[in-house]
Amino acid sequence: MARLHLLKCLGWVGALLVFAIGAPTGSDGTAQTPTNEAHLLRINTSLARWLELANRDTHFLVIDHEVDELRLYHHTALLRTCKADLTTVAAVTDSLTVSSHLRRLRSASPYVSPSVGPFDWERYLSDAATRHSALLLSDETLIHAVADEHSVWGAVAGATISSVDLRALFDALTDGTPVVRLPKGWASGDVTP
Amino acid sequence: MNTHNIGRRGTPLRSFCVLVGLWVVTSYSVTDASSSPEEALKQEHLRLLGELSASRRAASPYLVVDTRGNVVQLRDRDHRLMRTAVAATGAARRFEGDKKKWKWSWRFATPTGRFRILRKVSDPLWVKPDWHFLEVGEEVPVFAEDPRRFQRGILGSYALYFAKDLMIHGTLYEINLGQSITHGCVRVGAEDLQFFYENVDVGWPVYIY
Repeated sequence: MARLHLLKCLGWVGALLVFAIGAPTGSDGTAQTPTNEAHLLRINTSLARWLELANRDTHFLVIDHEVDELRLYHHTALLRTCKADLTTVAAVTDSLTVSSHLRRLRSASPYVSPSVGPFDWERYLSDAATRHSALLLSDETLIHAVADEHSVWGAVAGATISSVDLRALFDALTDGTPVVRLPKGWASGDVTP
Repeated sequence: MNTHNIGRRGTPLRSFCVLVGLWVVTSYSVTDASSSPEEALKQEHLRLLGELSASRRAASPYLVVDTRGNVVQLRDRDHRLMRTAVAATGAARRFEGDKKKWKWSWRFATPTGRFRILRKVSDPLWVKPDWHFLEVGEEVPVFAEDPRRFQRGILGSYALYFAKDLMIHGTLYEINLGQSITHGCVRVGAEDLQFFYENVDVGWPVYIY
């Protein structure tokens, strides 16, 4: 009786081993990884959003990880191209907007009230950006000027562009402006994430 | 008992065969199912790229005005840069007349957004607005037909209107190009103005940011 049980168990184990070894493969013979599909899906989502925004009469920003560029578009027209360092920018998010305009780095001390007073010149009197300004996106990605010895954003991760480009984008983009982030490989179809 | 034993002995082999059969069937179906979404995604990717490539081409060449950098660019349908001109754009300052006498106020900023070239004019005539008389401290003519309102030569040789009262025109003081000093119009140098007049058609879009 015990032998029968043993044989039965061996049968199941053998079958499961065969099942496990013969894991399904893709049409090209490579192992199927869900990350490839997820990456391709993300690329397609970004491209679809770009297409949708290209039909709208509004500014939008494209963050292109393929060529390390930020591009400002209106409709289909290319308004500005900014070379950027995107190495520290985190994972791709599907739906992005410009969240806020930061005039300068503020202390996050718990003893300091984050609200600004009525005489805060940066908020009420200043109209244009300085090289210490930054743009915050809805996924907390920061766009700031190239770090130098005077930059307050030097240690902060984010997309870095030249101060001239930052000033132009800071004024051109309003809060809520849509942002499309294109992952690497979006143009070539290389789905290796 | 014998029959029962035979049946019992056949169980491991039978379960093995059943599972292998199941694996074969599942493997085929899983392979099809797993390749289909990826293939579908690749097809969708190609379709989107094609659609994007078709829609990325602009309907016509267009002008881009950078009010921060004070630059005007002419780009072709494939977004290639054809001409860059140093410009002067709106000062974004507010101006108010005497509040007792004049209740007007103006903000001298170049508007942002999408416009189009409405008309092109050679040797344009400047129709002086009320704010000009207030700025220079002269009496504002009551009638629009007053000859004091009209002056030629001050806008350069050409003007390309992109709004009712706003245009790309020339200047007598090219030294001020590159600065935000105008009342809302876009000023460019004489050579660039001639190039734009000769190469830009009515109806082409003007994007200002």
